[in-house]
Parts: sequence; structure tokens; C-alpha cells
Amino acid sequence: MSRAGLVAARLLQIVPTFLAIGAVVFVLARLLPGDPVSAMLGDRATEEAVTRLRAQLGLDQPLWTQFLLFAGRMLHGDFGTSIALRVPVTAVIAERLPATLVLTALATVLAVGLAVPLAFVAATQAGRWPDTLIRAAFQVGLSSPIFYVGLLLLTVFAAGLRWFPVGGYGDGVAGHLYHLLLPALTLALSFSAVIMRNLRAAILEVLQAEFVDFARSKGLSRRVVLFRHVLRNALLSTVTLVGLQVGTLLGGAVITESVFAVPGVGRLMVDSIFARDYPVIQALTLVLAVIVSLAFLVTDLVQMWLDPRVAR
Amino acid sequence: MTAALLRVEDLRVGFAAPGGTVRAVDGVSFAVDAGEIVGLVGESGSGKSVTLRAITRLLRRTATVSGRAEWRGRDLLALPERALRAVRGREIATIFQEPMAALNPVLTIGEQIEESLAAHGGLDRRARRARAVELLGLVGIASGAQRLRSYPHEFSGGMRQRATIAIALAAQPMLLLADEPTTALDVTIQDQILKLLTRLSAELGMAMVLVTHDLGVVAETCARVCVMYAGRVVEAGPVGTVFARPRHAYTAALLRSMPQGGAARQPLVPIPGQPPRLDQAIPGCPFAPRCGFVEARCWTDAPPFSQVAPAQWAACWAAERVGAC
Ligand SMILES: Nc1ncnc2c1ncn2[C@@H]1O[C@H](COP(=O)(O)OP(=O)(O)OP(=O)(O)O)[C@@H](O)[C@H]1O
Ligand code: SF4
Ligand SMILES: [Mg+2]
Repeated sequence: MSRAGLVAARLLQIVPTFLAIGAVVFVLARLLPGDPVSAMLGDRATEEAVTRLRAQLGLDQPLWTQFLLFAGRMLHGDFGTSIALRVPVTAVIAERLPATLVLTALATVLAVGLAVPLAFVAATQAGRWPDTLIRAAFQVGLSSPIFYVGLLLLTVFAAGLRWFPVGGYGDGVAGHLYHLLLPALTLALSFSAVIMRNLRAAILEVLQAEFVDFARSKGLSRRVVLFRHVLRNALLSTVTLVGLQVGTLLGGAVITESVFAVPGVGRLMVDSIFARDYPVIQALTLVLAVIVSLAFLVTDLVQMWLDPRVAR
Repeated sequence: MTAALLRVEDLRVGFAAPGGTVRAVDGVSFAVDAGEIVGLVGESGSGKSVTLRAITRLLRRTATVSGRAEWRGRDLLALPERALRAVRGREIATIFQEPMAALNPVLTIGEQIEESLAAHGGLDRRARRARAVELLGLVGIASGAQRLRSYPHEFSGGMRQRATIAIALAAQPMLLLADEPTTALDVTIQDQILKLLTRLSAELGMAMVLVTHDLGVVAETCARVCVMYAGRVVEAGPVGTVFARPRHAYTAALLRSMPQGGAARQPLVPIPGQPPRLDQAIPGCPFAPRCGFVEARCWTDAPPFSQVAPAQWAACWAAERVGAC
């Protein structure tokens, strides 16, 4: 199949993926403990009021009708009204999503920016002191819980040195970045440790390849051999790793946002679960799943672009 | 006698191992004249590849190398990295056994040829492209302009080896070190690649060290041959002389194990017994445990590498008796 054909096929896969996500979210919402109607009306609602609300929400219909209604509303971006906040779910999510997206994107950039150069140094100095030092440092990063790292950074750089705000989201692009730097760093630390380990191993493996010897035998400089031949091949597996970790990162955002009081969807999710705010939980699950599957899509496309062998 | 292009003297390569240092190459000396094809034969593990890689210092940091590799008046083993890079590819090129493994899977054939040209300067982008097409033509790959955009996995085994040869020839080297360039290929393709290499060597006046298991190939293509055993050269001389009258018991055994008439493309039939371990010092002749000519002193004294005939050298106590058979 041609490369364009493969890209098109991969793009089309997104349709069944989204359908499946929708079905899972729909079923999950019905499996959750507690009843949305009693959550909305409270314990002392009259029988009549409950029946009226059930009809209003379509809960008296057969399941498959409910699913079609649900799917139709989703397609129109209609996620209903938040029970706790009494505003359209779409508005709530639209307000909270940017902070989370900026946070995870910043964390990814920091993690990759930290891990790639250090993995490169560690691998090319394998077994010597820079390698030992870098690996030891990342081992600490990997084994520290996000919650603890966040509090530590907060105590030292925000409360102690007052270089950074203790929380919030700020105004304007610069303000957002300034406020999100510490939380993003918190989130990035263990992620970069994972990338570092993977990339270091990949570089060491590629260094053994015969094409590296052949490249050296051509008289290429060390720099060209390392960047053009070694790093590019080693990054192939790292790209996949980064893409697959987006879900984990979003999970980590829930904790980080709570520690740093970032008004993102992570905290919204936690609050909504406590409030049994089913419409918000349902819509958020859907949105996050879609984001993760879009991240997988981008990963695959980048992979196709980097590795000519993927397109056979 | 003309001055040799490459003169390897007392080359030693050791690899640190748990049981002691592995002496993969243990005092190898040989010379290559301009335009000449020298064969390097020997069983698996005899140190052929390590010898070749040591010459342009392609071995990893784990190897300890000593001796000399004199190239046009300079010792490659003592040359600064930068000066060595100017020799690699430009003056001495190398090709390996596995044509797939030698090519970078994520770069096009064109990129891999052109980076060789770029490394040694002199040509602009357009000229590099034209030269790359010309090189593919030289190694028998038609419609080179399109082929430049292909990736290695889109080529067959024979085509890949042609491409690596094109890459190696890019900067017009004076010497090609070819490490079993045909072993991984089909028999018919092996033949084509060998013919290509000998033709190019003659046309371009390029000298070649050809590592092979195949004595038939040596007989067909090489002027001189060096026979290696346990990290040493045990016999060297003109192919005709060595094959007609070997003076080392190991060479004689190799030739006996070859099908009669010296038919080409026949791999060596193994000689009974195992080559010695290389991580322990060998007091006498390393071939003694497998040798049909063995004498008492073979176990205790290493036979010197001495001249046994005009232009022929061997390291065997029984050179006279072996030659008389
Ligand atoms: N990187 C290394 N570390 C340790 N030992 C090595 C290394 N490379 C080679 N050797 C050892 O050196 C010896 C010579 O190996 P070499 O590859 O030169 O043999 P060869 O004659 O090319 O054999 P073949 O015909 O199988 O290619 C072998 O015993 C091998 O195990
Ligand atoms: S020196 Fe002795 S053991 Fe070695 S090859 Fe000659 S005869 Fe055999
Ligand atoms: Mg070899």
C-alpha cells in the first residue's frame, strides 16, 4: 500500500474508535453506583417528580433508544446540563479544558526537552560517571510520587523562594505559562525518567548496529554519525512511548491540578465525581478518551513519517 | 619491488573478557600493493573481521589495539581522529558482510551515497546528485535517479550490496577492505558481485583486501593470499604458489578439504577438531592439536613466520615435509 493510502486508512480508523468510545462511556455511566435522578432531586423528592424527570432525561426509554439519543446529542456537542453547576456541560468543559491541555503539552515539552539530551549524554558516556549520575537522578524522579514532588516544588520555589505563584492559572499566554511551569515540571519529572530510560537503551542498541560502523567507515564526523544515524533511529521507539503515555499524563494532571489549584479538567473530574455530576463525568470521559485516541493517531502519523519501513 | 600501499605490522587486538583477554588478533603482518587484490582466508573466528576493522580503527572502545598500520607513510593506528576521518572513505573504504545491516533503514540510498561525498567535500548538491546516479550506474543499478529515492528495504539483497559498493566507491578510494561481501547472498548473485568487484578494482586501479571463507573465490580473484589461524597469519604468498605447494599444515588441510579441481563457490569443509581458545596464552603452535604433521617442538615452541620460497612465508616447523607432499 502506498504511504498516502496508509495515512488515509489510519485516519479512517478514527471513526470506529470514536463509536466504541461513545458506547463504552454510555455503558459506564449506567454502571456507576447511585442514581442520577435521586442525585439531582435529593432524597426527599416526590414519586411524581422522579417520574417526570426520568421521562425528561429519556431514562424511561429502552437502552438502545437511549444510546441513539445519546449519540445524536454528542454529535451536536450537546452534553446536557451540569447537575452541580447548573450550566451547560459544554461551557464548563470549554472553560476548563485549555488549562489541562496547556499543562500536559508543557509537561510533555519539558519531559522530552529534559530526557532527550540527557539520554544522549548518558548513552554516549555509558558506564562512565555522567551516565551514572544521570541515571541515579532519574531513578529518584521515577520513584517519587507526583503528589510529593509537587508539594516539594511548591514549598521550595513558590512558598520559600517566591519565584513562582503557589497556584492558579494567571492571565494571558505568558501568565498561563508562568503559573503552569511548576505543575508542568511536577508532571514532567517521572515522565522524563521513563523517556530517558527508553531512549538511552535505544541509543545503546543502535550504537551496536553495523550501519553505524559503515557510517564511520565513510569518514563521517562523530557528530553526523550520532545525530543522523544513531539518534534518528533510536527516537523511533521513543516517539511511540511518548504517544502512549498521553493517557498516563492526563491521569497525572488530576493530581497535579489539585496540588497547584489549577482550574483544569482534572480537578473538574474529581469535583464532579464527588458531586455525582453524571453529565459532566460522562462528557469528560468522552473528551479525554477522544484526546488520547487523537494522540495515538498523531503518534502513528509521526511514526510513518519517521520510519519508511512502516509504509510497505 | 614497489613500496606497499598498506603495511600492517604485528597487529594485536585484545578484548577484555571474564576469563582473561581474548587475543582476537595476535601479531598479524601483511602488505597490500597498489591495485592488488589480497585474499584473507581462515575459519570462522580466526580474526579476519577484527583485523580489517582494526586497520581504520572501527573497533569499539572495548578493544585494545597495538602494532602498526602504515598507510602511505603514516601509521593509521597513531593518527589523530580528524586525520583518520580524512582517510576513511576517501582513501580506504570498507564494505561488510551483511548488506542490509550496513545500510541505515531510515535514510534513502541517495542520502547515504551523498553523505559520503559531502564528508569529503568538493562537490555541491547538484554535482553530488549527478555523481550518485553515476555511481549507481557503475555498480549496475539502472535508472539511478529514481533509485536514489528508494530506501534499503525496497532493494533486494544483491541490489543492497551493489548500493553499499557504490557508497564505498563514492570518494574513489585507493583501497577497499571487503569483509565477506558475498556470503549473505544467493549463489548466482555472489558471482555477479565478485565479478563487479574485480572489474571495478581493475578499472579504477583500486587495491582490495578480500575476506572470504571460499578458497575458490581466492583462486579466481586474488593475486596473493594470507591464511589466518587463531588470530595469526600462518601462511602468505602468491595464490598460485600457495595453492600448488602449501608450506603450512593448516593451509594444506584447508586445500585438502576443498573439492577437487578448486571449483568455485564451495564453502570450506571443516577440518576435524576445534580452533584453540583465544583467552589463554598458547605456548607452541596453535594448530598442534589438529595437525597431522605435529612434532614434539610444536607443543612448546611457536614456529617463526619465515620465508619458505621466493615470496612465500609460513609459520610451520614441518614446512619442508608439508611442501613435499
Ligand atoms: N567485540 C568483541 N568482543 C569480544 N570478542 C570479540 C569481539 N569481536 C570479535 N571477537 C572475537 O574475536 C575473534 C575473531 O573474530 P572475527 O570476527 O575477527 O572472526 P572472523 O575470522 O571474521 O570470523 P567469521 O568468518 O565468522 O566472520 C572471535 O573469537 C570473536 O569471538
Ligand atoms: S608447526 Fe607443527 S603443529 Fe603447527 S602446523 Fe606446523 S607441523 Fe602442525
Ligand atoms: Mg568475520
